[in-house]
Amino acid sequence: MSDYLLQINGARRRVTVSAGTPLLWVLRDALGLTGAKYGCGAGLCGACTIHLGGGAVRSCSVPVEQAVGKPIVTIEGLSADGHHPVQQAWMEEDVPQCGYCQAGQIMTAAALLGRTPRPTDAEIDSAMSGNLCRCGTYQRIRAAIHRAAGAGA
Amino acid sequence: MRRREFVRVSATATGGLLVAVAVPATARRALADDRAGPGVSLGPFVEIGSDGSVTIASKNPEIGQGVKTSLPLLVAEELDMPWERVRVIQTDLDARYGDQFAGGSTAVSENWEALRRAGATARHLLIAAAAARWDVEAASCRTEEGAVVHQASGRRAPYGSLAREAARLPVPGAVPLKSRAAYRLIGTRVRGVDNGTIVTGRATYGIDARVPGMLHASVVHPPFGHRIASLDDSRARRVPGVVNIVRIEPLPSPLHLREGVAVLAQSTWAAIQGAQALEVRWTPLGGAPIDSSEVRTAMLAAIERPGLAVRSDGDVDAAFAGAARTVDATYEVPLLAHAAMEPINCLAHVRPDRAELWGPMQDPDGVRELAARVTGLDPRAITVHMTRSGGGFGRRLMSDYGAEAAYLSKAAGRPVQVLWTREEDLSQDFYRPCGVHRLRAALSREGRVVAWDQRLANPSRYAYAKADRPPVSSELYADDFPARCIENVRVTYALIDSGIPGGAWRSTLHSSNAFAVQSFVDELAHVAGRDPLAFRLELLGAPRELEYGGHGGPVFDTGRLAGVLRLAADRAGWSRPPSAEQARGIAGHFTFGSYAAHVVQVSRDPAVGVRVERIVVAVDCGQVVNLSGAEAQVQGGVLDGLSAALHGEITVQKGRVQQRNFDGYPLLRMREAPPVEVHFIASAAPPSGLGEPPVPPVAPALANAIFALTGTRLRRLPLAGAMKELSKASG
Repeated sequence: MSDYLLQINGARRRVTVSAGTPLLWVLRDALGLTGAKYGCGAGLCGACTIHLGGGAVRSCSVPVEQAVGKPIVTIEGLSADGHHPVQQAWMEEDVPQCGYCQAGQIMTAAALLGRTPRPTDAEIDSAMSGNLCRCGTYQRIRAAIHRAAGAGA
Repeated sequence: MRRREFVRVSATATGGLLVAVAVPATARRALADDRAGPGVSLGPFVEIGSDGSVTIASKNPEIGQGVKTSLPLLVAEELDMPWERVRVIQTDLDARYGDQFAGGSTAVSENWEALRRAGATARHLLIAAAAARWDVEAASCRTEEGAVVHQASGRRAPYGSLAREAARLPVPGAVPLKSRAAYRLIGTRVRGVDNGTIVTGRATYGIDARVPGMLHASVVHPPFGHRIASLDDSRARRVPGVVNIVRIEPLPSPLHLREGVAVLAQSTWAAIQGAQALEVRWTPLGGAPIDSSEVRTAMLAAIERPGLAVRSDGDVDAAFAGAARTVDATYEVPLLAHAAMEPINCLAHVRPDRAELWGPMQDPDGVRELAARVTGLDPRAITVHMTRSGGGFGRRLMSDYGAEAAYLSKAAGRPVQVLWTREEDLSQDFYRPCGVHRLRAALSREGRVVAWDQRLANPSRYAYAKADRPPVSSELYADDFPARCIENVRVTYALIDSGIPGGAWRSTLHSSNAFAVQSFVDELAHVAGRDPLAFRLELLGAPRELEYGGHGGPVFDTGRLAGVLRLAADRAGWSRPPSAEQARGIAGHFTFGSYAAHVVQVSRDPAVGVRVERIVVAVDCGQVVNLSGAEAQVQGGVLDGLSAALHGEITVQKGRVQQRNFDGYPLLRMREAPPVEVHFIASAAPPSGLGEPPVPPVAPALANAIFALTGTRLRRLPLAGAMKELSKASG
């Protein structure tokens, strides 16, 4: 077991975990941040998406060592109170069905809008196709991203 | 369907009003394979606090189908309570709530009367309390925005101020329910009650449940048809954080608890690494086939001859003998996994005298029964908490994972959360059975269908479950279209032996039967030189109610199916041919009491061969309760059907599932998801099922569109591979 100092949602957190532990399990089990979800463990579904160093990553596939020294933002830290334009748009469009994948979808969408403020449908499809939704909310996700883009996310 | 309903009213400790109604417990009884559900029972649904708060209990598991919003909405409608001021709570498993079950698309239809009655009774009592206080006629009072109003005198009393008095009043008899015209909530767009916690990552799913002192478990299970021969856990025990290794002894039925080896650890990651370090050897048990290719060979052989008669109308052989033309086609569907985004998991805390379980489930009563079996506790000593569920699709109707969590907690003497890896989730499922359909039809000189001969060969999920029901009854539904729409109909079934677990998958076998039937009807239309829509409408004939014994009976209304076919066709522009590079296909199906028809529009695409451009859907599910939720269910069901039609296929070799993760078992991704336009038939009929009916028409409508575009008939699911080949063939 080793100690790692992480910057998570604006705070410095020290964790003691085995070397090589994927960031997802550090967040969920060591830090109690359960918003990022386990779906595949292999970077195939996107349910565990967070921001690392400003970009969207699959936290199931990032060893804890690689996160040291880079700001980490999880769904819990995307906004203080759920008022990030992407979160608001998700509520307005009534996107969630089961909701399990949505934290990952929102984090990917927020990263997309960070670099492409007015994405086209094709850009949305390209950016979001790494995030699976088994309930089939894709149409509302597209609408919500356009709505958030209009709100200046 | 008529049921007796009961109302019970009581006061809360703080001077509030509590209204309970009887809720029928029929859905679970109808669907559970080997258990009978409880009878009618009572449970509190509405609590009006003296402080004005209104709490409505949601009793069914929320698996993404939106019941935590749509069921309380029924209460709020009749109560005349502004939705923004209603608090919804998820109940635990509790016999007082009657059926608590997510399956068969039954939540809204089964609770439609009772939950509105709960709201109406509370409203009636609040009006009576106000009338008594003001000494006026109750009939001169009305309700608005959570208050009773006496127009003539301008007096107004919020519900909270009346709750204490209302609770003392005698229980009214049958309180009238609102007329449809008076609805303020029903039929409108109401957003999900948990959206706020979901988008901030605070919603608690099974995987998020935490209790002090809990261990995390990861489990490996033998391939199907195998047992553990030997176990070397020395490497696993050396993984930092691993606390214990537990051998799981199975229950007699694999539906209840499978054999396995569990690694218990301080963290999920340590448990997963420990499980990977286990060295387990398996030994085959012998018995039923555990290779999907062997099962397939047996199915293809079996459909060469008639099976067990399921339906026999008229004289099929005579009609074939005198036919102008006959058509013969064979269709094939694969095994499907459920692959809910939230993998199988459950947290259990078993103590010597009681137990608690937390998890995503579709049948919490089943979880409790099995937890009682593996712990030896009285079921009454077991508390079951339903978390939100990251999907279900039928997998969580089996409660084996609840038994597993309870088994491990009992063995460890501590709370244990078992979480299957995606690999275990995909390879230890109860799969939608595969099947081969052979359909033959006889046409008259005028192109009328005079005889229909259908054979299905497949391994039945009831046979796998050793259920106390005929194997065919989970696989083939004798009253399905075209029964009674054609004079001479024969339907037969051949049971194929298989050791690969079968289970209920969203829309059960309607998902595969409709593919065969609705594809074949399309083939017949083309052979007859008729428009596929007109041909279907003619087959359905005059609007009438036909006897229907399966899910969603007791009647199948041919007029309602014709209605959705016409509406979907109309909205898709069926009468206006698309461009030369585009084509459309249509299919419709009745199930779970609802009618759905889809028009799929496709075009040529160099990358994937054929691209799905657009799907137009018409649904008649009676009264729509929550328009936003209903539309979401239809869009989701259609994309689920499309995902399966394009990609879904599980294969098994020597008991081992070949698809280990989402690379081998792809689900539909956003770039493949066409817009889905949803149109509901305006209807005053009581609500019927909606979670499942949108699934079955997708695959046949797609195959029919591909035929219209390319002239190639695809008869074997999934289609993505063949669609890609089509582009090569066409250069």
